[in-house]
Amino acid sequence: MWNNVQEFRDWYMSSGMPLRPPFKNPVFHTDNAMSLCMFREGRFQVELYLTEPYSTTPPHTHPGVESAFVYLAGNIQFYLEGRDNPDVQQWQKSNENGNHFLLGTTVDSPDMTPHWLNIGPEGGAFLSFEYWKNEDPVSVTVNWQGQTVGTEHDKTIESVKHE
Amino acid sequence: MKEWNEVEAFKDWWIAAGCPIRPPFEYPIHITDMAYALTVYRKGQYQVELYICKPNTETQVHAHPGIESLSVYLTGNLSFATNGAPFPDLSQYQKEGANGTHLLLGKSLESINGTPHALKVNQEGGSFLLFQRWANKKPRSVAVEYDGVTLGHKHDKQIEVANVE
Repeated sequence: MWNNVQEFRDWYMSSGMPLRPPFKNPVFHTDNAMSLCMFREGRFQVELYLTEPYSTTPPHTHPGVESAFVYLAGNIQFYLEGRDNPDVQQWQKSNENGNHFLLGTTVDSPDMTPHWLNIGPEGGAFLSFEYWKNEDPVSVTVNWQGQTVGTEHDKTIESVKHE
Repeated sequence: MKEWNEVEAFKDWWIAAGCPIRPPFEYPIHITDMAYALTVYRKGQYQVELYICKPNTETQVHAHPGIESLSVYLTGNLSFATNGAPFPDLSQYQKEGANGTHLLLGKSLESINGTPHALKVNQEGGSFLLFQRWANKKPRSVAVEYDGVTLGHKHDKQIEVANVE
């Protein structure tokens, strides 16, 4: 097992990113994003997030969850409160292998640090590595403190409460 | 450039290679009213898309002309119907398998070589991989190479954008 979310992220990325979605609670959606849990072990999991073009999320936190994001594709501007948030448009280009220039770039998001997203016309895809400190993992989509994305998001949160 | 002689050989290579997740810079993400898709790997005329599907959704019968494809189950509760047949009953397999995964993880579902088919997703939502070989065009997404009734406004918009570019 891992001691923190960074150790888990590094292990997962160096192990060929095993694709092993769980049977329980694998898929979630909001008004502008969907997630698939790619791998879950104990209190650790990694979710794939796909987001719609031109979408935004308001500032929010995921109480009790240490997170680290890894860029995959599209056009994603991450913002973390109190951090330097460089304009990613300068890196909106292909690398030498035909992937996104930022593929594999990581940003840590400590527990209770507000963060939010702006997505460009290409949509966005990223991995959310998570260490759930106090409970078994579900999805950060439903472990959400702050304004929600919209009514679909509200319904998804409500549905989990009734399980 | 390494190529494969059929979509099944591409699927076997991709899995044996450890399921490399390297989305292309160009056209990696496609959205419809029912599902979100990420091309996780593309090379030449071959690609594999990962679909995440919303709960309680269903397509009408449709086809993807000029595309050979092969679907592989990841998780959730979904099934394909092909050539006018009813949706198969997979309820007996809706249970946990090894390591907390779905019992059907990694199972090939359907080989769809441009033939009409439909997809039904039940209340758990679902996810699958779609391995593809594009005969005549540069690969993009089967969501926009779609012959049939579309899934709604988002799907129409996605097709419109693809046709303009």
